[in-house]
Order: sequence, then C-alpha cells, then structure tokens
Amino acid sequence: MMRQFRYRAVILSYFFFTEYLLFSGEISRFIAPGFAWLSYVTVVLLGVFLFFAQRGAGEGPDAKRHKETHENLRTEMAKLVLLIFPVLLFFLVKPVAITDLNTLAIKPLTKKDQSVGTNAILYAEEDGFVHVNLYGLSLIADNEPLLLTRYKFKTIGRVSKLSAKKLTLQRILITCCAADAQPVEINVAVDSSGPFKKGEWLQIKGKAELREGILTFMPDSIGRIPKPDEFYMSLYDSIPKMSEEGQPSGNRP
Amino acid sequence: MNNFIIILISILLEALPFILMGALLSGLIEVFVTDSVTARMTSFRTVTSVFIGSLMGVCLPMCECGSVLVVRRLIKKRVPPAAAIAYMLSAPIINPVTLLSTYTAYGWFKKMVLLRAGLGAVVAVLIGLLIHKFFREGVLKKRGGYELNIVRDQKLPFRVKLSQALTHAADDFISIFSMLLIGATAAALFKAFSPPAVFVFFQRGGWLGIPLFSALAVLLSVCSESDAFIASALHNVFDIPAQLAFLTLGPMLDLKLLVMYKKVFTGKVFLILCLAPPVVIMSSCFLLRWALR
Repeated sequence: MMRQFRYRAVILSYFFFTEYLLFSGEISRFIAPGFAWLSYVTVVLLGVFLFFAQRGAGEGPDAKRHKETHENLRTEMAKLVLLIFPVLLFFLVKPVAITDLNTLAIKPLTKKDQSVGTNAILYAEEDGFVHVNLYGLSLIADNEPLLLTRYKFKTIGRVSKLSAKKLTLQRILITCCAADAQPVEINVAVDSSGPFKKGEWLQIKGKAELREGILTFMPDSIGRIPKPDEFYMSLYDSIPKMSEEGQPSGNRP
Repeated sequence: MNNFIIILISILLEALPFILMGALLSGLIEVFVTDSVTARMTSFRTVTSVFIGSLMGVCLPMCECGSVLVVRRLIKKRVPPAAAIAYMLSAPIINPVTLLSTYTAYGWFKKMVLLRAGLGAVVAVLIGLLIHKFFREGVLKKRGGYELNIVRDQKLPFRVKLSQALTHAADDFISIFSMLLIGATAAALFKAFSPPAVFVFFQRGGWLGIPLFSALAVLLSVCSESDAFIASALHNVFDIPAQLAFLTLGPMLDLKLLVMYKKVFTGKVFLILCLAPPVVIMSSCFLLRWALR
C-alpha cells in the first residue's frame, strides 16, 4: 500500500511541477523555447499514468500479486523525499537562470555557418546599429569578417571578468536545455573598468574587430540595462537578421 | 548551488518525455507483443538478428534513457540479448532526430553524419556479438522486492489490456527514474561545481584529445539530440576523430546510463557495457586519426 502511495506521489509531484513550470513561463529557465513542447508530452504521459494505470490490474481470472513485504513508513517517506528532492529544491531555493558558467567556453571564432553568407546585407535598425546577440556576432566574425568593418553593432551581455582596460561580457548559449549550456564571451575595450561591476548587464554599441583572432568590441557607448527576460541565447535564434529589399540598411556605405 | 539545481532539473525535464515514452513502449510490448512475434526474432541466425537489432533504431527511434527500459522488456520477452543490446547502443545514435541535429551542427563537415552513424552501428554490432559469445541468457538482474505480475489473457477486452500495459509502464518508469535521478545528479554536480582548471585540463588537443573528449562525453551526460552542437563548437580544440569519439561514446555511456546499466544488467554484462564501447570507439578513432595523417 505504502509502495503504491509512493509511486503515485512521485508521478503526481512531477506532473504538477511540470505543469507549473509550463504555465508560469518558468520553463524558459531550463529548456530552450523550441523544445518546450517536450514538457507537454511529459505532462500528458504522466497524466495518463496517473489516471489510467493501476486500474484493471488483476481483473484477469488468473491475476496474482506477490505478497508485499513489510512496509516501514519512515523508509517509504525517505524514499519519496529522495525521489522528489529536485522539486523540493526548486521551491526552497527558487533558482534563477544559469550564471557564471566555468565549462567549455566557445571561443569567439566558430566554424562557418551557411546562414551568414559572403554577401550578406545585415539589417540595421533606425538608430543605425545592427542588433545581434554575442553568438550571432561571433558567427559574423567567422563567416565574413569584412562585415565587421561595414557595420556598427549593438549587443548585450553580463560582465563576467574585469581588468584594467578591458571587460568581458558573457552570455549563455543553449541548444535544447540548460544542461548543454555554454558560455560565449566577448572582450570590450574600455578606458577604465572601474565604473563597472561583475554581474551587471550592459548594452554596448559600437564596432567590433578581430584582434589577434579574438573578437573585441570598441564601444561608442555602454549603458546599464536590467536583466533581460530572455536570459539565454538559443542556438536557433542567433542567426543575424538579414535585410530585405527596401529595408533600411543603416550605416552601410 | 543555483547552477546545480538548474542543470539537474533541465536534465530531468529533457529526459522525462523519452523515459516515459520508453516506459509506455515497454508496457505495450509486454501486453500486446505475443510470443509468436518474438519467436520469429529468435529464428534468425545470431549475426543477422544483431544486425537487425543495430538498425532498428531508424524505425524505432529512442533516446538513450528510454532505450534501456525497452531493451529490458524485449529481453524478458525472449528477444536474443545480443540483438536487444545492439539496438540499445545504436538507437540513440542512428535515430532520425539525432542524425538531423548532427547534420545541422556539422554544416561545415556533413560527412560527420555518416561517420557517426556508421561507427555507432559497427560498435553496436561488435558489442552485440561479444554479448552473444559470453552470455546467451541471464543478462538481466532479477528485480528485487515487489514484482508486478499481471498475467496476460488474450481474451480480456482491449480496454483492460491497455490498462495493464499502462500499469506495467508506470511500474517500469518508477523503477528506472530513480537511476536517472542519481545519474543526473552526478552530471549536474560535475558541471556546476568543477573548478575552471578541470575544464582547462580537458581542453587539450593532439593525441590526448580522443581519450579526454571521450571522458568528457561520459561526464557531461548530454542528450544525443544536442551533443553535436557542443562537439562542433569545440572544433578548434579537438580534431575530427576526437569529436567523433565524443559523439559516439556519449549516447552509449554516460553517468545516467552507468547507473541504469548497473540497475538492469548483471555484473559481468555491466562491465562489458562500461569497458567495451570506450575501447572500441577510441581504437577506431585513433585509427582514423592515423589514416587522416
């Protein structure tokens, strides 16, 4: 009996936990937007197990069950807590999205991506800057470095490192979920990093160039911004936006 | 602590749908697949059934977490263990979703798709044959404690049989979920708490790249649907053979799978599953490296 209770409690816990994450929007801390539909599959299947399993068992004429061993309440509750400890940790600690990741950092230069072609015309907004995220900027640098000389860019990032004349902005790139998160970094040349603090979110506007193979940003302006809602960069949303015919192309000569 | 919780829960959220689908398939196999169907598999010669098993992943795609459940059920239904294990090892690699993600990530080197699928299938066949040589039966551990024992009766209405299948599925899910939790916790601990020096140590090229990147595949425990992007992004650190080792070993052996294998298979089979894939894969990749020179 206790064992069955534990089974149901585990399924019920993850059922409601996944539902909560989906309908509160907090799933975006864990899963890339394009993969959130998998969590709906989880909810459906857990619901099916919850409501339709364990009924009809033993209805056959020869159905048998093994005799249950003696159940210790304390042991069963301990097992239950262990099985649902991630859910308990989530509500106790209330984690925010990943920060300061030490794992394998993607070097600013990546292999060629066919989406940013040799003759790409990037779309610049009305202020004359091409809005792109850090990974998209590294794609541009790798695919067509000449584009760096033609356009001015604006991007955002979180300060991860500070030194005398340089600060490093970092953003986290995910493919399908936070488990495969990788940091993408860019160096920003500044006169003095004194005014800035680690962990601040900044928007930088200016030009980017490759210095000894490292992508470095020379900002015209640096502004503090609040933490963005979309904390992660998704691999599939990082391709720089191209200009369509008739659209303004900003400061392209 | 923050990163640990986020990584742990994201691994669980990513793996849950596949484990649930694997459990559902396992339950359906238990109730609806009759002995006559499985008898047909046993009528094939071993080598043929191992080949068929290794290619089944194309039409019966399954993530590495879900495939362990399905294979346990197949072996209980008297499918040859060699064929079932070959399927378990190759399904996460040669399924269409993984191949598509590999193709997308390796737009600059499309042959990686063929290399990954080919090496994965070859390794699965070799290990299947190895299992057949030493273990004709008795590869599964007996499940301790309470054993759900619903006797199948073909005359029962479809609704009742479906309910029995779901009951088996829920039982299988819970039994393997605890193992997933242990493996996911270990992977999250490694990723969240390892100091930067550990990752700097792993990022070495040259001949050390193959064993180090293979070890990283085990420790990071990334899903086979997304590992291609990680490997591709590190092309300037690890060469093609090292990336191939990462892509092939990860879906066959990682922290989550280690715990699941320990739960499901006997000690000797567990040892073979832990040792044979890295040895075969790394040897193949070293050969490839030598050939490319």
